[in-house]
Amino acid sequence: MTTKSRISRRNVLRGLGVCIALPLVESAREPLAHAQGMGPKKRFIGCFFGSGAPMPDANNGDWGYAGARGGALKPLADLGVAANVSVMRGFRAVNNFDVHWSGTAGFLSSTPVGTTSAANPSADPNYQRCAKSLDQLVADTDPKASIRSLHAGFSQVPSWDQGHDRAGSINYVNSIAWRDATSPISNILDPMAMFARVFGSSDKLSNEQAAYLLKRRKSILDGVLDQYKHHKSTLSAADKQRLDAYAQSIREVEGELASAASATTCVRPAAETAGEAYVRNFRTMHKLIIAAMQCNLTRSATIMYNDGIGPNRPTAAVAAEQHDSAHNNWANLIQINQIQVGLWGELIAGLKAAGLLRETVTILGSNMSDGRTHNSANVPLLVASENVANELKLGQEIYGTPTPAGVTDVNLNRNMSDLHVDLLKLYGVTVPSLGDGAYKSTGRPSGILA
Amino acid sequence: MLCGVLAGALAAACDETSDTLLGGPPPAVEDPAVAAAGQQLAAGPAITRNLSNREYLNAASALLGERLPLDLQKSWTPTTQFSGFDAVPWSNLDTKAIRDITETVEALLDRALASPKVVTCAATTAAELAYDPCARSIVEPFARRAYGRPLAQAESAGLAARYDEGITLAKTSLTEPRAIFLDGLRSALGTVLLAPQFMTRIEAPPSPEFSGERDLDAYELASRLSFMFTASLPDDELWAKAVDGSLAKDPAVLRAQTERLLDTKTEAFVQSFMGQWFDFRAYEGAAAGTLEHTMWEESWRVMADVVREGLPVTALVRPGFTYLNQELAAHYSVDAKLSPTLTRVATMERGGVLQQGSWLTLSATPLKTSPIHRGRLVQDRLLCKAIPPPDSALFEQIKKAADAIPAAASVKERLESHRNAGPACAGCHEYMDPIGLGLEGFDMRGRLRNAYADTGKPVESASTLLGRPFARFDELNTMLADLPDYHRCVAEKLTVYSTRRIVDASANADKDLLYYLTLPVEGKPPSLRAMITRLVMSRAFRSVNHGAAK
Repeated sequence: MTTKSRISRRNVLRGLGVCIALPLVESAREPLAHAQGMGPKKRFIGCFFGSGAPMPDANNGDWGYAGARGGALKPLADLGVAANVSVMRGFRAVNNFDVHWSGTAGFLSSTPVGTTSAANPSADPNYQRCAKSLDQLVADTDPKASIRSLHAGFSQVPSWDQGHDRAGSINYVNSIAWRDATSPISNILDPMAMFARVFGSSDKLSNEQAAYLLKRRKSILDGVLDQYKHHKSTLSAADKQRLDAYAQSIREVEGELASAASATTCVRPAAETAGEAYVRNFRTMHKLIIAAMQCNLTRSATIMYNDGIGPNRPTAAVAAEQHDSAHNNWANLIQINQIQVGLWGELIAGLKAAGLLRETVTILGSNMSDGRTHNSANVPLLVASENVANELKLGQEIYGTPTPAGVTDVNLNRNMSDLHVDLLKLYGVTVPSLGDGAYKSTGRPSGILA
Repeated sequence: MLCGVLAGALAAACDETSDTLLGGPPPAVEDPAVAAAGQQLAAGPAITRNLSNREYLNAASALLGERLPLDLQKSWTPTTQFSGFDAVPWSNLDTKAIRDITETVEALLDRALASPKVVTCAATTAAELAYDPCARSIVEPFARRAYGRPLAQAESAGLAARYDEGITLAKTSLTEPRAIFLDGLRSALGTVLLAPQFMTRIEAPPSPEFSGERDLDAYELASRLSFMFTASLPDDELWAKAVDGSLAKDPAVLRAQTERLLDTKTEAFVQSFMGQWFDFRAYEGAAAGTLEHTMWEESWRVMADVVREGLPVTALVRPGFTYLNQELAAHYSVDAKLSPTLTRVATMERGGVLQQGSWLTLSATPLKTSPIHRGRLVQDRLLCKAIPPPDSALFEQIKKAADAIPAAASVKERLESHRNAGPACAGCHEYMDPIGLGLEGFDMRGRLRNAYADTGKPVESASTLLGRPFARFDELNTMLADLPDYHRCVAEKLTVYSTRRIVDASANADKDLLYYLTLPVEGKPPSLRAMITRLVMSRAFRSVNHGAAK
């Protein structure tokens, strides 16, 4: 049965590839107003790329709209979305461990990562500790969402070297989204898997047969929770905590099964069939995220266009890895940046076309600026949306530092938590502060709000 | 230079070396002083981990009686590793993981219910749908082998209840007794395949407060041995020794089972252990006949001989032979007439891990070799030396040093500029760069090269490691293998892999363990095989301390 539905799911994607520009059903959406967390915005997409951008680079053009190659942001102008995007300058990444690690894990929480020197590192809660991320705080505004949040990525690095693996979790480079302080969220890497996540693993969910299959699956998960009950009596505290997290995941997946049927009313987007695999995969996942938001299945998503250290060549046109390019070839790096910024620009254009941009904020940023020095000051950071009532400053450069010249001084840089606090206000969520330690929010406006 | 049967003219030059490397069969009995030392060691920490993705698939294969394809796990999040070794740190069992596993379990259940090994009886009438005797006789042995121990009464009852619920549910949708029976089984067996008892291996204390030491029981020992040697559940013979308790009671049985697994499961052992240690498992999934697959086979076949034949630990980097076929020989520029099947060939030029195509390719990007990366990897994997990540201040210094290098500088000159840029740089680069330079004669696919393809500049691979100059990689191999750190590191990697914990070489207990594992007898360091049996027979392996630092 499962095998059959898997094949037919594939066929659905292939089949829809033919009739590509199906308009999404407008009536499937709820009106803008929502019960909890009233504000002009209700959806959030946090986007990330690792290893930074040329900054500054007079020869190749850097993180802007000028230069020999038109700057890293040229695709935003080409796509006609530049007026929706503000360029944030003078904001710093979390840098309390290798910035590839802490700058990624802390990107959406402004919280330093935990490190340990315990004999058994993974039993120390500090081995994998950061903080609940901005996307999860937005997801909290709709606890009844069919899909709490969606997370797309390009790769998952399983380990690095002894020095890093001993001190802190490899998931620091794998996850910008954190469910809570000790639970990073893994990304879906395969567009097919994301399709299944959004539309269910069977395309026949509406009939009785499918309802029975769901019940059968739920019965197994009930059984697992029952077995777990008999297992945990003699566990140590650390093991119990891990298995409790496992049981919690089981319960959440059970909850997802219960709400899976609602996805069937949505129009399923087609898989992208043109272009290089990297671009094609992300374009398909963008469409799935937009469809899920349009059907009001979810409010929150994150996208990691790369992890910054793993092998990553977005295009065969650039004969170098992104990480190597960041270290020693900015002519190559800017081309890679343009591909990723271009993808994000397409996401903005897609949200706009779907009528979602007004209720959505999406950001794109990195974990460092100059990759050669792993510089955590003035990292690439963009904010995009469409104003409902002039609530955001869009289409401009916004400085977090007292003067534009100050952006290179990490001590004058603003914490991203100041931006996070401001963005949350747009969702009707007021928090006393965000972030931790030196990266805690200061209470001063980030400059993004009008 | 190729030696051996197929290049007789050169064989004489190699025979001498080969003879000293072939240590003969391993001793049947351990030296009494060494054996006694093994019993003086501190009990190790209890294992507490989840199964790696691969172990999960292997274990499910064992339960179902068929080899399950790797692509069942295509969308699973990769298992978290420590320095290449699976499931030392816990992997996140987050909702994505549960979703992926749940999805795969549906496919596993389709196969399980079609497997004559699993479904050993059937209900064909409504009366036969009762849990006893048929369903119970299927579910309980399945669960016992999956959990690796007898079931607690509550666990059995829970599975029976699951079967009954499955039957009740199935009756709402199905009418045919056999179909209803299979869906009942599906519910119970699916529960087992997703239960934490199967997904994790936790050596739990006898009571929550217990923080003392205890000997592992026979089931726990069987589990340790089977996951160590086969990355899967105990086979029938090992299971029988767990059931009768002899594995824990009688050290002779433990040793005999270890020797049996070393002899009969060598392939699975090296494919898993060495495949993770030296990364070559990355090519395991390559299509048969591709160069990657041939490289993978070369790697594990050399390693399997090193283990099975009781060769010295140094044989990992200079075994004196390798496995080649016509294609791989051509790739390596070895002039020999060979068949399409891999054949053991005596040579000092290839076979060692740092000359294997798999390691050389996997330590480079497809576009270029990085001597610093290769050097760092050798330090990490062969010498257990962790090179700390540079901090921001150091990165500034690195950039200044890099900017000062003339554009026309050779690879060697570039690397030397690191080491001349002050102690902050030299402190690490003196460990990494010379090793990487010594391997620059191998390109990003492991082929020999005398010049760089892009610049045309000659490769310079002579260097100086820790004050000792070397001219060629074979001298570098010898220097590495003669370092005491190398022997300790092999012992450390073996312990990390076998007991899924990070070894702290600065702590007394682990210092003692590594000393014991590398202790020479009559002036000869133990072979890899002897090291493995030493580890298994030691108190550090057979006993656990629940109060040990977590």
